[in-house]
Amino acid sequence: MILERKIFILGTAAILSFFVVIQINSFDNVNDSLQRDSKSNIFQEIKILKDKNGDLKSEVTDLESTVDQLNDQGKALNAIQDEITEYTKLSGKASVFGPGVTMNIDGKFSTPWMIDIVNEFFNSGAQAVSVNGIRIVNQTAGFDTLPKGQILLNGSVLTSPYTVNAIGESNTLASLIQSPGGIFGRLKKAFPETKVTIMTKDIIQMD
Amino acid sequence: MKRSFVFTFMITGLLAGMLLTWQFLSKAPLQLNFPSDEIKAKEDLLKSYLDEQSYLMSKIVSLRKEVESAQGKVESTTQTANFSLLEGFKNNLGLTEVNGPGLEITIDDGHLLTRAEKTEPTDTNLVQASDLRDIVNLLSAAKADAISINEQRVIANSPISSVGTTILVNNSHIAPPFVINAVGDSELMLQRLLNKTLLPDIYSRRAKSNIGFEIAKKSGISIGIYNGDLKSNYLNLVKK
Repeated sequence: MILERKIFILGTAAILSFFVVIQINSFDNVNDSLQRDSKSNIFQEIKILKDKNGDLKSEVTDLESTVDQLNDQGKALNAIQDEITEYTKLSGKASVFGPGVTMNIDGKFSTPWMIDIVNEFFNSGAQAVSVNGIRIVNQTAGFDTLPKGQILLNGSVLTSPYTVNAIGESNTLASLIQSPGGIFGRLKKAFPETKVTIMTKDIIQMD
Repeated sequence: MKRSFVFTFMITGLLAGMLLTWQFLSKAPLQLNFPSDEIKAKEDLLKSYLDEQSYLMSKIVSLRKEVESAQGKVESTTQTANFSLLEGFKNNLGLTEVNGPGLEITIDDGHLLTRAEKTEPTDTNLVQASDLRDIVNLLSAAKADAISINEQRVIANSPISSVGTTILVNNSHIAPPFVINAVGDSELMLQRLLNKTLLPDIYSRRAKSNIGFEIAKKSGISIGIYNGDLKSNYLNLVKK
């Protein structure tokens, strides 16, 4: 009888501690999912560097070609005009359009996550990003939080639903944003009540 | 049965259960799955990409200076091109050096810690990419004229991300301590950065001495030009 009680106590305690450990582990998993930065590995690191170096090489080639054209009297003015056109697109001083993706966020949201989304779109290769119609360029004043939690961008209060537009290679943008452990999944876990959708588009215009 | 016996059995059972469960849940580190020469090969590959990257970035800076100089020569011989417009765009896009008063912000990992591969990326003693993004965003909200992190010029489309414990700015590796320079209205930027409610995570970790965070006003800061790529092949101008 005493032996049975001993076994019963041991067994109950072991089962109890099993649930305690499982619970602690699940808290860790929840915390991981709420982290603003993803946990990547050396393979991704190498891929990022490889892609980045490819982009840098192409920039070097473009710049060398610009230098050559500028040194050729017949082509110099065209080279300058091409540069002005490219910078006009990038600076946000003129309306642009192109393929891309639209992310809609309907519900409660916060400034740090909005910063992260914009960052993630540029990280995925977006060439232009706008939030609720405000294009993010160097002259755009950053995000701010008002006392009641509203998000402010460039002096304008943003209200839900938030629309983040990104122009770039639409399939690449959509797949990188929705990749396992990516921003899309993390923010869905961080804001379970908020409806987040993403869709590719052939034409997005930013004014 | 004596109460002390019950207590002893209960503790023994709890400990045994915890140890067994933790043992089953523990995951072997990914690196242990690879032979050491494979890890070394990956590190060498990483290093060769980084060396190539730093060469390409310095080449871009030098080519942009060549473009600038060649444009200067064209400018002196023609009146037809709109050089002031071009110069304005370059200023807007971070393609000109910026000098002026501003702030130097230093944020560093906790002492006695190295960013080794085995360190957990989410360690509160490590500066996170999100910390840098929040600081850069605040500086941008305070209308900083130019921002750099460890001498990497940060523009609107500069990604600040992390891969494991490595932080990337413009997809280039940077190592702690992270020094953020900002040219602009020092008072306005300082006021934003000293507001603990705007950087709650950083201030709470600094209060526990998890990370270092210092701000210094500087009368003269020089921020170099953006040395990354600028792509616009998916952007089309809307014809008026």
